[in-house]
Amino acid sequence: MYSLPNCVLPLLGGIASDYFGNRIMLVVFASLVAGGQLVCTCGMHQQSLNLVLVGRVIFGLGGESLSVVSSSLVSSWFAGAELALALGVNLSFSRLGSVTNDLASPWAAAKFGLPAAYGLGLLLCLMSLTAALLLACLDSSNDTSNSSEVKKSTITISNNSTMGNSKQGAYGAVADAENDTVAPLNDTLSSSGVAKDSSSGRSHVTTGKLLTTPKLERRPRGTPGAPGFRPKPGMGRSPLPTSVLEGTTSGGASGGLACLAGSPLRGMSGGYWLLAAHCTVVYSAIFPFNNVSAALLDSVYGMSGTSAATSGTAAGWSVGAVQGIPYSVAAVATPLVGILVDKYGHRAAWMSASAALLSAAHGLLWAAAVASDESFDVTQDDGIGSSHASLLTLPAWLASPLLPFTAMGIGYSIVAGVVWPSAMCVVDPSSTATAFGVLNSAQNLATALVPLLVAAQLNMYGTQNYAPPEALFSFLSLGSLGFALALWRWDYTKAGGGVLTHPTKGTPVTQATPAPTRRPAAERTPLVATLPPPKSNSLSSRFFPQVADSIAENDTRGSNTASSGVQISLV
Amino acid sequence: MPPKSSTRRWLRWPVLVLSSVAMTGAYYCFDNPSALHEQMKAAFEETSYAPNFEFYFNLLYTVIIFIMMIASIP
Repeated sequence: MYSLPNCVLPLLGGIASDYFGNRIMLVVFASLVAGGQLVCTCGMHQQSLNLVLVGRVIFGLGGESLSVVSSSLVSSWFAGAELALALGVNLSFSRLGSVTNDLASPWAAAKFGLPAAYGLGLLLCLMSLTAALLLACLDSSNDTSNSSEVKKSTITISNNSTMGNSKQGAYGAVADAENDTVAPLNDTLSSSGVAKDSSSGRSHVTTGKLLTTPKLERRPRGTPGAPGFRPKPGMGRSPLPTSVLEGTTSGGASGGLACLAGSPLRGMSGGYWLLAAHCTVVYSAIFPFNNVSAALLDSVYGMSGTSAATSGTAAGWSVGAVQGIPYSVAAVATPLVGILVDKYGHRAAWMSASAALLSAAHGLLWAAAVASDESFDVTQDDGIGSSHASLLTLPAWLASPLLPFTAMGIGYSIVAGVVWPSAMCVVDPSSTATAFGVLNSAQNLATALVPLLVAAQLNMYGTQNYAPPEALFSFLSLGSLGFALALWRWDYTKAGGGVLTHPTKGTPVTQATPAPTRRPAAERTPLVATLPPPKSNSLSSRFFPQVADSIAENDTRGSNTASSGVQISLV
Repeated sequence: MPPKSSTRRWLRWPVLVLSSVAMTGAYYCFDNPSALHEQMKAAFEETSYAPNFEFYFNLLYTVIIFIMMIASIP
């Protein structure tokens, strides 16, 4: 139940941080978390659950929004190399926090009393708040120290992104599609009309499906109540709003989210929504399973709750040990997967592999559950024989829970190591925080709803019968495989040769290349409409906004330099 | 194309550690109540909350929904 609030809060948090900047929101959210925990501790001390409730409210306002903002800030630092590794390490620490709580909280409560157990959490929150403050300082100090070399770096970026051999994920698409995109964007700048949305106070330059906002018609940003609010340069939201692709965004279920969120979600590419769907479904086959895995081990594999199994397929393993396999594997393997993804790319292939692994694991558990359920019936009819007779006819390694649980651990590691950095490849860089927020929300929604389904199935078919839940998990895994394959296809057909396929490489290529020449409009229109806005944009316009602006001003002159200017600000 | 200047790129490692630590506290505290369910139940046995303890306990998690709804109205 508790994950329901997390469905929407990270979403709002992501949008807020795209507006106000990651740094401020990071400290705000960390303060909310620490303040909420402080009130909770006081409430426990006063023996007032009402006060604890107030504390939880404050805590909830910070909550997972903190992780959204943190991920988004980290990815701005690791946008070059090692992005997947960085997010993997982040996720490992999150799991570490949860696991530590399960062990340390009961210990502290037994030793020092209940308020002290909450106080221990408060200490950790204060430590986190300190880290957040340091992080904000570090981030901002580095920003200002960079302004002197802005121009040089930006030119490097422009050269890099117009090169055909750029390696970075998003750049790959730019590079492959360079001849197709530069010229139409020029067209857009010179001949576009301005459509003003009076209700929001925003103006857009529209040409067909492509919504752009060049420097001269800069879109005023801010909350609805404060039109015209402009964040300082480098505050997270790109000061140069760049191209927003219209019509490739949400359909169906995500439409409601888009209404709620307003403009940041309109910029998401079709690939992003496939990624979000994959993320939702694949996590719904992992987290809810973990909730019931202890009970499943008990009823399907006959493992007792407390002591280690003395015989059978997993001798020497206790339920807790087997149950902990997926997360333990993931804590070690997620950063490793991150390194591999950074080095070799092929993110959609990784996702498909993880979904296939999860399908196999759940399929195996489904078979075991069906087998044990049938043998149950036989036992009840005959009154003799082992209740797990038909399991024993399988080879031991196949009948053991160790195999599917390990496979699940590997699958989960890949999911955790690939899904989050992939979000950076398929969304407009000015809305990465929103993108992470939506992914978190979708994941939490699934984590909230699927356990209800599982509970209903257990109610309906018997609490010992795990065949229907495993069937559900198997189909969810297969569904996530479908979404991963669709994403793979999208990557090759729509994203101009695979934004998700290229490795993450941090070394800039400084060799200059001539600006691409124009091409007839008929050749390039479709690509423009579906090209996901790559992140090269954020690197220039977010951190070097002034120069990006000044170069964008050159665009209207239509010269060769204008082409590279467009490349910087729009592609 | 790392966004930060190349001379200070090593700073991304402190950034990674700090951001990880910044998230750990929240994840630790979020599930505090569920890890302490039995102890809390015992601690509130003598109080006026006892008859409705499970309700209050679940409220610790669900109360955030209402805040979220209020926050999303404007």
